[in-house]
Amino acid sequence: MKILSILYVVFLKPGKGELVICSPSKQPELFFAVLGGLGQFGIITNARIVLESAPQQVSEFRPPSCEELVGMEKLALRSDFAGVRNCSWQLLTTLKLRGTFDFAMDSFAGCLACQVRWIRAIYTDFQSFTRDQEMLISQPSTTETFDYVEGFVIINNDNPFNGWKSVPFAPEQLNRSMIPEDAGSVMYYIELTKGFDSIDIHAMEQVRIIFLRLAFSQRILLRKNLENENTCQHLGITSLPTNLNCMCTYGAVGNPCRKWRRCSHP
Amino acid sequence: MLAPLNYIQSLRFTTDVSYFQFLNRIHDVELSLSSHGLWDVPHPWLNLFIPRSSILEFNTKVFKQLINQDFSGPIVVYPVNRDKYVFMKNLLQISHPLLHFFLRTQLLVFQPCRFFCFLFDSNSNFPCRWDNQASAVIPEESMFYLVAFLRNALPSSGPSLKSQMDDNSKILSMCHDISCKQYFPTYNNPAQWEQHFGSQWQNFLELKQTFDPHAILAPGQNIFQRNQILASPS
Repeated sequence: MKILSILYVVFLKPGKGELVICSPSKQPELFFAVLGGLGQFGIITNARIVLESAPQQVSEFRPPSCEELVGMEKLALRSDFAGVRNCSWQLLTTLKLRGTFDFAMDSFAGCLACQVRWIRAIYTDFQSFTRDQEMLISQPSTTETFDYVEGFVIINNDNPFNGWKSVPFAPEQLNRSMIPEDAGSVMYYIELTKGFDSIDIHAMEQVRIIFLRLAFSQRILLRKNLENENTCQHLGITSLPTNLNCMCTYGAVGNPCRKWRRCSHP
Repeated sequence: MLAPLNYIQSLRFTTDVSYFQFLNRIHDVELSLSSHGLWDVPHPWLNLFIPRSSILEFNTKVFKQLINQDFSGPIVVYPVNRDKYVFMKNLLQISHPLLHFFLRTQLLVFQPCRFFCFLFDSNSNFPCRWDNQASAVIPEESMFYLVAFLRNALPSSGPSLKSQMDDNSKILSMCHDISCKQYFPTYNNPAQWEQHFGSQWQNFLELKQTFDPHAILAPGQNIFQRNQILASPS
């Protein structure tokens, strides 16, 4: 995928009548005059735009090795509740390894292609907010930094479009009790992203493998509950027969690749 | 990379999305607003460039005092390095309507910082000396803030379009004191334009003389009158 990066050449009919091709190096005076020129210098009939490569796709997911599958199984066995143990054991022994892997892939194919970490962080103090923004856009080009930095003013109320409720990616992550008492009539938040391809790939890979393991054993648990005990209408949202914290999918069965969140069951 | 930042630790939110999903995020907002009938409504938007030295004052006088609980729409605030911005901003004021619309959309959708870094770190053909040759008007300081009040006038509730536009004028009148520049201004006479262009006015005049001496193009901006005999540059 390519994205628009910068205007490079314009084909222009200036007020004098002739067709002119200009660029930063060819007829630069006219080229720059017309940018921001409010239509005063010419009519752009054609423009050439340079494209920038999008961050690379995360490379094709590698099937877990036999050792890793055994590791997942051990992980599942270490869990304290019987559901996981029984269920995962059952699945791993009855399904062929390849089939098991497909089962996991089915759940996480979408997540594995994730490429942008998207962060929002709230400030109550405007000076800290601007100081941080300025620091972020003033990094030398040799320093690893974020790909995108923006900021917003939000109203200190629960309006879903410009109050504090507009900040979290899932509405239930933020409620009124979490808003600091010193917050004034407005607050601020900074928005950042970082493409995965430019973070430490090795670290991301480790996270991904660990995540897959966790998700994998949990998914088996959920599947078992769903099929055998018929207690979950939607994967992981309610009715897990356990009192432990667990990673739950956030979405329906047919659309399993959603955000993961930690939830606790009474 | 987050370590040096002073946000409220418990109020950080993170998600992982595909690159496309991030780029396309405004589309999701559009769908959500459309479904509530809040998309095809008047948008009395106000876009400003505030010099860095005035942003704290702007916060005290505008964000803290003029923004009410019933303000509807997002407010964007972020700093920009002048040298990295000049070229990009010029693009956004290009007069060709289609291209302009396209680029304007990109401003909302794409990643400004990524653009700027790409442009100026990897391409030495575009040195900063163009600052003074380009037509666009931004504050003089090396860093300035983009502040955008992206309001919508809701049909059934909230402040009326008229009162929102009055609010905008109130903000603008505040801005005269702090030498900020409006992005997409509308002025009715050359004197106001001259004030807007400030030190760039003479240069703008000379360029007009050179490339459109009979003032044929775009008279609707009220900068020059068609067939006006432009004074020769001094």
